[in-house]
Amino acid sequence: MFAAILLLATTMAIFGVLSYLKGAKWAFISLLILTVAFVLVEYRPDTIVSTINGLYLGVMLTLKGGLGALASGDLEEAKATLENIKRPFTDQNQNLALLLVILGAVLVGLILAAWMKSKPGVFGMIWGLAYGYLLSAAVLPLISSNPAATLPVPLLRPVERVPGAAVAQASNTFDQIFTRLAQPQTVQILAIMIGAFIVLLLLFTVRSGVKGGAKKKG
Amino acid sequence: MGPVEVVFLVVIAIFGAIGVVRGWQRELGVTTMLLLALFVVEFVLTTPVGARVESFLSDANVTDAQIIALQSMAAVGLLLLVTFISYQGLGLVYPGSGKNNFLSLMIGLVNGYLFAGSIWYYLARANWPLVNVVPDFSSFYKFFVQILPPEIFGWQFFILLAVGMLIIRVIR
Repeated sequence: MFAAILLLATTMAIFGVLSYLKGAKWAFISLLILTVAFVLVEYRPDTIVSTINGLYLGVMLTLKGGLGALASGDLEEAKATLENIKRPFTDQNQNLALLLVILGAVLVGLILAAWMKSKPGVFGMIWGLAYGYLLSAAVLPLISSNPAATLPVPLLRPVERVPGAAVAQASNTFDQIFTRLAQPQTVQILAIMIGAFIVLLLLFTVRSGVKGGAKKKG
Repeated sequence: MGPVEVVFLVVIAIFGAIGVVRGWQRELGVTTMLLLALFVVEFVLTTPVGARVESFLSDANVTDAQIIALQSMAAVGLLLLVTFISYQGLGLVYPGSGKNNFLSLMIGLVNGYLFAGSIWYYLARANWPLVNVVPDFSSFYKFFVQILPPEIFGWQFFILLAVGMLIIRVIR
């Protein structure tokens, strides 16, 4: 658990600082990319694994001359070649494939960082902190079997229902969303996020105002 | 009657609009005053100071429900007074040049959250005295009532943030 908290704090700190330096525009776009990857990993893990396996099989089939066999109409040889190729990801190591997708999203974000230019700002830092949290929430369950490492993510990750807990069977989508958000664990996270947001927003705004005023006088 | 949470959300939105009109420099002054008012209320209610007042009222044959209602009405009264003075009277203005509508909106919304959220909290705590609000509450209400300012922050948060803002304002 300590390692998980350390990783979470480090990731949030790194991406908070990076996003502050790179600006809010980059941080927001990167957060959107990571969110898409996170949703895919959470809701479509089987599709991701089968797609990556399919891509690998296609590439290997080409490299081993399977396409030539297909072109000449020799389907049996192509089938034999295909059967000899081992799938890289199975049920045992499918977390590795999901981890690759998350790291791919991070890589895209970092490439964008080298390309995009925007002003450093406090909103960048706020998006960056959210990015660090989401990244930790995505990676930790993939590298650790400890259930405590599964961080709550409001709306995106369904909260596991505690046996015996009275969770209302919400009738419509909004009810479901707010019932989910009202879980104590999620409320705790939201409270920390609201507190951090208010503190950062107010203190950085006052600071930038004071700096701006001093420059004008000088 | 519609759901009570709509009233508070509208108030928060109105504070956001007022923030855009007045500018973030003035809004920060209101934020500081609201934080100090919340510090006073929470400090009195949650420390031995509040316990003494409670025991004094209990000795005067005031029931527990009435004590909570009195505390809540006093808290709401103080918040209304401080907010009125901050907006209408001479207010604290922070330095800073330029107009930033988005920032003004954000600070205005924070003020709305602190003001309307706190009043919501104290009225709900006293089981809605003087107004006709009855369960069954919506799932949004049940969620939002858990993230109202006095529910998630202690008096330490309010005073530290207010003092922090004032220190940063003074340091050049």
